[in-house]
Parts: sequence; C-alpha cells; structure tokens
Amino acid sequence: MERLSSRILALYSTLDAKDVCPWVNRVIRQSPELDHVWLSGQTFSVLWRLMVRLSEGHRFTKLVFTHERLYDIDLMPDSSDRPDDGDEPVESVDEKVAEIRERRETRLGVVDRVGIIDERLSELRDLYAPFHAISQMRFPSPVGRGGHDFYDNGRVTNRSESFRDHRAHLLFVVRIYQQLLESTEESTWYSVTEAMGLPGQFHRIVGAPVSIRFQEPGLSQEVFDRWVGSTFTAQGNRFRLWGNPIRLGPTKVHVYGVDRHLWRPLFLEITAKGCTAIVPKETCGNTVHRLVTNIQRYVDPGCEAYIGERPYEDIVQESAKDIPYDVRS
Amino acid sequence: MTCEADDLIRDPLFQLNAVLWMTQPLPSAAEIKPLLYSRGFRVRAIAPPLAPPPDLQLRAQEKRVDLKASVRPDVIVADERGRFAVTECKASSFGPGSSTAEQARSLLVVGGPRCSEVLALSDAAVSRSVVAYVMPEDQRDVFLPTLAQLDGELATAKLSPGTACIMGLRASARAISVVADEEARSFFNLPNQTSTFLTVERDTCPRPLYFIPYDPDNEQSPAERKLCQRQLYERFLGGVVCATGRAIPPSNVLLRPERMLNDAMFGMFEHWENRDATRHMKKLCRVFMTAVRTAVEPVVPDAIQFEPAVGWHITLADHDMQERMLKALMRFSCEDLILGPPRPPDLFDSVEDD
Repeated sequence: MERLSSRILALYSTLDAKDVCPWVNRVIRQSPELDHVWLSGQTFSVLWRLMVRLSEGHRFTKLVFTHERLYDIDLMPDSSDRPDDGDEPVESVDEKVAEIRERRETRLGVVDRVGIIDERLSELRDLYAPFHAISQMRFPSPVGRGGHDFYDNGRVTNRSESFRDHRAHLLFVVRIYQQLLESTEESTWYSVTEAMGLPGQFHRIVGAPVSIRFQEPGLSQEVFDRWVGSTFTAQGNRFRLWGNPIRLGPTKVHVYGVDRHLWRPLFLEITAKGCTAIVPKETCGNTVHRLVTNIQRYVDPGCEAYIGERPYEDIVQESAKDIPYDVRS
Repeated sequence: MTCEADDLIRDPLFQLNAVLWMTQPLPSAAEIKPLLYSRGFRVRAIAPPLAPPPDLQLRAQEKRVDLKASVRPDVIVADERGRFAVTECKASSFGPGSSTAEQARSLLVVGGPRCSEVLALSDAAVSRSVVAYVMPEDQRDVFLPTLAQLDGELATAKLSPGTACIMGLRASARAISVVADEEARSFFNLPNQTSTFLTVERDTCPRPLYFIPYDPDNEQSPAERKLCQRQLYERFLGGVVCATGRAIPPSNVLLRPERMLNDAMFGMFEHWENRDATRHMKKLCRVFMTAVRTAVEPVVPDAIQFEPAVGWHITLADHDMQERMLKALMRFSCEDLILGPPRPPDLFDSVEDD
C-alpha cells in the first residue's frame, strides 16, 4: 500500500482482478472513511485530451464506453440494482433461466491508434450519446509496449513492461484528482462565513451548487420514477444515497438526504431535466464525482455537469493545468 | 406535496430563498435564472443587525417619528462597484400606521446616505445604496403610497431616507418572474421590466431547494409551515443518520440540539439572536428526537437516551446494533410526524429550552 497524496492511497497487487477487486470493494463499502476514486466520462474526456497531446498518434490505446440505462427497462430493476462492485460484468452462465430483461445497455471497447480514435471520437459522440461515457482508458506507455488502463472506479491495471512507468502515470492522474477534489470542495461547500463590517457581526452563506443537465428531452415519467424509487428506497442502490423524497410534482422531488458511503449530507433537487445538488461543508468532494460518474453511467451518458456556473470539464481541465507529466518520477 | 405558484410568491421564506438563489452561480441552462449573480451581485449578509446612527435616532425622537432602534433586513446584496441593496421580503403591503412601518422607516434610514456608516464600511466602499422590497407584484400599487408617506415623514424630519425600490414577484402558469420598477432596473442593471426567474411546470410546485429551511419569525400559511418544518426535520434526520453511520462501534454518539440546528441551517442558527425563535427551534428539535426515540425503541431498546442541558446519546454497542439503528432511522417518516396529531407537552418542556 502506498500513500500517493494526503487523501489518496494505492493498493498494489499482483493478484488477478477477479480475486482482489471484490475484497477491495467490500473494504471500501464497509468503511465510512474510504471511497473509490471516481473518474467520470467527463473526467476521462479531459484525460483523453491530455493523453492525445502526450502520446504519439500511432500508439495503440484502448477506450471502453459503458452505459447501462438501468431505469429505462420493461421491468423493475430489483435484482439488478445491486451495489456497483466495480468488477467487470459477469455473463450469465445459464442463459435459459436468465430473466428476459430489455433495457438499453452499451459496452463498447475500442482498441486502435490514438490518432485514429481522436479523429472520430467527436463524430461518434454526435451520433450516439454513450460515446460520452468513457469508463476505461489506456495511457500508452512511453517507455515500451502496452500501457496503463484506468477504470472509472479508480482501478488501474498495468499492462506495460515497467512498474516505474505505471507508478508515474498513477501519480499523474492522482495529482489531478487531488486538485480536482480540493477545487470541488472549495467551490461547492455551503457554509456560513463572516462577511463585511465588524468581525462576528455579519454572516453570509457561501458555496456553489452542482448542476447536472440531461440531454433533451430529459427523462420519461417511468424512468424518473424508477430512478428515484430505486435510489432512495433500495438499500444497495448504485448511487449509495438515502433520503425521503419530498414529491413536488410528477417529475420533481427534493431530497434532504445522505451519502451513505461516507455518511455525509447531500441535498438534491431531481427533475426530469436534471439534478441540482447543494453540498454542505465537509461533505467530501468525492461525493460529487461519484454522483456525476454514476449519472453518466446509469441515467444519461450525454449529460452536462456544472459546478457553479463553470462546466465540470473546465474544472477538471484546470486541475490538470499545472500537474507535470513526468515519466521519470 | 404541490402548491400554487401564486401562493408561494406570498411566502416570505420562499422570497428569501428566491433572492438567495438569484445570487448563486448557475449555468445559463439552469431552471433558476441567477438574475442578480449575472449582474455582479452577491450576498453580503443575511439578517444582519443594523441600527440607525445615534444622532438620527435622537432626532427621530425629537420629531416624534417612530423608528425601530435596530432592524434586521432579510439580506444585503452588493456588487464589486459598491452598490448595496438592503433587501426585505414581505408577504404583502402594509400601512404607514402599522407596526411594520416602524421597521420600514428604520430600513429607509439604514439603507440611505449613511449606509456605509451603518455597515461599518468606509464611505468609498458604498457608492450607491437602496432599500429593495421583494413582495408579490399585486401589492405594489397598494404599497407605493405607504412608501411615499414614510419617505416624506423622514425627509421632513431630516432623517436622510434612502431610495426604495420594489422587486415584485409575479406567478403565471409557466413562470415566476421579477417585475422591477425603474429604480430597481437602474440599480440592479436589469434589462427588462419583467425577468423570468423560475420556470413553472404543470402540476408541479416550483419551489427550489431551500437554503433557509424554516424560520419561525416568518408569517406563513399552515400548509407552508408544515412543509418547511418537514424540510427541517428531514435535515435533522439526515444529521442523525450521518452521525450514526460514521460512528465506529462500540461508541456513544452525542447529538446536541444546537449542533443539529446549526448543521441543518449551514451554520446560521448560532447567529440567531431572537431568543423566542431559538427556543422554538430547540423545541422542534426535541419534538423530533422524541419521536425518533419512540420509533427506534422497539428495534434498539434504550439506545437513545436524553441528558437534560446536553442532548441525546446514541449508544452503539457493536456493528449489529449500528445496522439495526440505521435501518430503524431510515424507516422513520418525517411526513408522518408533520401530519400526525400534536404532541402533548411533556415534563421537561420548559427545562430543556434553556
């Protein structure tokens, strides 16, 4: 185990992912002090642009796009609404007895040269929204063959010939993420501070809301109801949230709720058009990134997120601005 | 739980939260339009205690003009150029002879030419000030004569009244809009007389998330008061769930009412000075925790104990007890608490308020 920064540590293992990941996920799930690093599709988009600049166009890379429209199905998502253990999906062995369940699900892996993918990616995104939902990305290794696969839940697989290079890439992304966490908390945390005039006399509320806007036309009534019902009543829901929705309309609820993973408050307005979050002070910035990642993965792959008035991607971009890409570190 | 937009705009707590949302950084695609933020205005103080300058208070006494010795406008917003708006939210107009008029006279004084002095800022820090009234637009015509009379009284007594403007709220089937008079348009740099602030969807209550969930000082309709109490209780419940979930058994979690109230209100509660209001809020906290204790007792007996003058202790002997407590808490219904019969007073009602 290595402490990579003041808030992020790495567990290195030579075990197979199918053996170590369930254990790691269990440890994290049971601790209010630990959480995954959450790399949303929007964060990956920024990392992709960085990677394109850093790599030569002829190098091979891998992108995986994952979007499971969990709440847009013909049946209630009860047995499938399990906590996200971060493992690769396991195919059902006995398909004859598997429940027939129709829903939109995208899982596409693309392995090709960096330059080729980069040329086509924005067109693909215009054609099909799940291409926004990057869930895995490979940084080609500059010191040899292969590369380093980053997953949306913070898992990183070394598929290169050099551990030193692997660690350097890990540090690079972690530093960006640490900066992102701090920027998020600095911007979003709502609290009362002293204002102008005599100290201790005047007080104001500071902070910035987190807004996520869905693509037009937004969510249908059925999808909205399933998402809200599943998220705030099912114990093991993907979003790890809890609260008692206050219904204000057919497609509007307020939830003065809790992030069940880290046991911190989070206030949400959810409508068919989007989601607005007020983050009280000391609620970890990771909660925001988990929310964005999960909404992009399970609700709307093409959603746009903002922290205050600033696009989420701009904040990720800014977090990466001064982080050195030093493969010798 | 739905509501009519036209009723909502008459609720002062909605009005206050609306002003707070108008000053939030939001993207252009948001359902709430940050009308004031986009023009550079930010919240500078919430419910600040302000007093007219002593010499003006003495003159008011001499001239027999009724001024309140201190006032707390709902919010002060200001921009980088030194424009300060002392903002007050009102459900309706009032007459020049009413008790509210005393407050209004004081607001006109503190928001007037000596505003910088009242706010303990340098003269250069305040380039322009105004008293902005937020009220239903249909109250404007009724209110204007009151404003004119109060202004006249103050001017005659040489009490340096400030300029007032009205930001009227108007609800339609599709939107809640701000109707700004000429002074408000000039001060806040609003381009139009009517600016949409919040879109209204069919069969949907347009209220936004509330920063200030509840304020006993506000006159509210019974339905609004219930909803606001529920908002407060849901935040209390979230706080109790968080404290229980974060604990590492075996442990004892202490919930102090002041901390619970502060956490539910982003820290504003500790700055409240109205003693009656703070007592009321602590009583609500006690009502809530009593109901919670009753609800979880069958599942985790004796786990929640009250210590007078301190708070509630939640004992978590082990992880199993913690899980049972969390499940019981998460089943608790604040809606049932709001809608249920009033609780009879208990033995410690007066003791626990202090």
